[in-house]
Amino acid sequence: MQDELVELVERARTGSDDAFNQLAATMIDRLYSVAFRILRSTALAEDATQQALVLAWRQLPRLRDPARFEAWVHRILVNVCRDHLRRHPDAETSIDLLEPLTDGRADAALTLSIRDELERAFAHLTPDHRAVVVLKHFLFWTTDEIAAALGIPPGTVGSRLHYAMESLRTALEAEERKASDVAIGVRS
Amino acid sequence: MRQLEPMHVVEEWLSQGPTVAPDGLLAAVSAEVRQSRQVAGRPLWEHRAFPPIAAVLALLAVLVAAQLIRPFVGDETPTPTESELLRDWPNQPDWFVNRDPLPFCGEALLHVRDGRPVAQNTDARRCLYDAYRSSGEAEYVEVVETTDGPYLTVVRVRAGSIEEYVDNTPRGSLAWHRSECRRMTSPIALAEELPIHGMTPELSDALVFIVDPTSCTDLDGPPVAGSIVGVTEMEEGDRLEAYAFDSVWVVNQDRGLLKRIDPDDGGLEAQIDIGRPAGDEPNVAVAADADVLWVTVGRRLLGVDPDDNAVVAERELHAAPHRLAVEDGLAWITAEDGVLAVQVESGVVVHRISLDGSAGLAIGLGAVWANSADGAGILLRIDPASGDVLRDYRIGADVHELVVGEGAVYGTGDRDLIVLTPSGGYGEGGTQPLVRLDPETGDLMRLTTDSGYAPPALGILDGGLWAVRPGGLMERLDPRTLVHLGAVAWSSLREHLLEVVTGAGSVWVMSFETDPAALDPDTVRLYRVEPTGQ
Repeated sequence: MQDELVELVERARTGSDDAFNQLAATMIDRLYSVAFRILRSTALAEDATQQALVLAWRQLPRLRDPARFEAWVHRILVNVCRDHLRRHPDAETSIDLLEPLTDGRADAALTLSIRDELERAFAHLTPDHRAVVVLKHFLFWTTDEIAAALGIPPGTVGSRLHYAMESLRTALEAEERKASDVAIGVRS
Repeated sequence: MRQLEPMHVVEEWLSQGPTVAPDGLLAAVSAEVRQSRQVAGRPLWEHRAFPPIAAVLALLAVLVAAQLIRPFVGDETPTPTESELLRDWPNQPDWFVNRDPLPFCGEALLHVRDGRPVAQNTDARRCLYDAYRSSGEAEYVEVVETTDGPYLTVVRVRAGSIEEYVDNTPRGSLAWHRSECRRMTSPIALAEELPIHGMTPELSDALVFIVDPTSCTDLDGPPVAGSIVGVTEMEEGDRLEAYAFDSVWVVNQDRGLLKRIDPDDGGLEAQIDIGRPAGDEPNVAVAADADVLWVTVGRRLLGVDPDDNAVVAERELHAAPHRLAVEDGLAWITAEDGVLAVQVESGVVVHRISLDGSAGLAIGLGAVWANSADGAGILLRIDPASGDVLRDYRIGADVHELVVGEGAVYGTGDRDLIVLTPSGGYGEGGTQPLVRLDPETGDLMRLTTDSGYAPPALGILDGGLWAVRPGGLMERLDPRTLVHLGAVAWSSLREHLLEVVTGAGSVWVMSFETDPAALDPDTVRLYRVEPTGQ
């Protein structure tokens, strides 16, 4: 699979748009998923994914190691997301997120109020902090993989992750206290 | 009530939401790819180069009708600056007032929201950039309103160079500054070539041009604060931790190594295997006492004998520390819920101080200092003997690094977090880069860097407070007044200065440099900077 990917990258680097379109097809769902989780907006995620892939196509001759295409295109995506957040700092969270769960996970720990708190806390994180949380806890990348993709030292990944998770933890604890105070939503 | 595990909850939360791209997105990408050409890689500073045909046309234009390609707006005769903003600007030095007149591109009064200027005068910037591309001449005036007061920058394009005049008065230097640079690119050029990283004309922060600092000459301005006397290429992942026992200590967490660097030649004296922290455990921390270098790795506290570079002690800790400071046989550590003092001989916890999300930790001025990271901005002054909290300061801002010295406690905050308003209160929405706390009076001072970023690291040496800034710059500040005393400029704008320690009469700085459009390993360097006389 990796060999096929590298071959596609090699062909795309020489100008084959067919090869790049195949690459895009293999990556687009994951890129869109990541973009949505950073931007919290389906419309912005769609824009960011498209822009990142087109940028990747245009910049592909600069990629020196085809085997690192996946990390590289994620770096571009995160940079594009950062740009989108600067352009649209007040973009509203997708209302899709606030719909009740309907997939059999109704007894999961994630109540609507907790999700709301997480959305609010996440919205206060910088794009850089959002990116490490998503890459770590959605894609489950290692610290080294995140560092390589974002072009930052592993230590910086760790400190960003720590800061971001502290912020989210604080939000969760506030929600817990609130739930406890009004004596609802208690689970055992 | 069941305690929520944040990591689990966050992962569950992130797992929700769409995982498939919308119909039509791939087709839209493919259509755009078909119509879009690939670009060849070029160094940053070559973006200003003309394509060959355009260059020929430009040359012909110069030969035939030079004035036709001059960029100024309106009257073709160079006129003095028509700037309204400059008309009543105070304290203009003679060499600025008497500058030679250039065609005027326009001006902009920018207000800052969330640390970034809004509503740029894009036409004026384009005019200036066009002048630069066509080897013309032009002047542009920009004032940015900040909580520190208005910042004035006047950018002048000359044939083959850029002049920049800056009124640094709001930054505390009480001086104007004039420099000349010969190599630069523009956010407009980058936006055309590489429209990411916010490098768009509208969203380019305060950047009119992005200059290569090695091509710049200071004509009038603050003195150079120090000189780089040594540089050592380091390994990717290396992090500068301490200066102790006549050596620089560096950790490579990814490889589980503690490195000892010879300060004289930058050579690797020793490499000690300390293991790697597990999973999401905090970064390795290092601190020295009289004769042992202590290192936390996950829940382990290791003692390294500097005489033979061997691990001679290992203690199990009850929590994985984020920070470490050692004095008089006690290792002070910060964990999720507070500050602990651990006897290094026995590993026994002798003091425990509750503090939410403790972040910074330092020892000095007869106390242990620790601050919260819960948004409340509480800084504790702890008696190292009794473990009692002597005083708590409500500084109202999260601080990530603490440094103690020169009779004060200094802290750096996160960018885009909190701003100290002129009235003395904190409010949200700007930046809160640096706080100086007088431990006796509790008085706070603040410094807002003109880059809008917090200095990621601080050091105290030679009666100066040394603060690194993005873009390869380190400032020397007066530790009492926070007045800018001078700077040390690095050769690359993309060289990020990350960590600072002081020792052997020098400031030691670790940097990394990365190319955002390439995945080559980062270049990591250790610099030795010696202060020049102040």
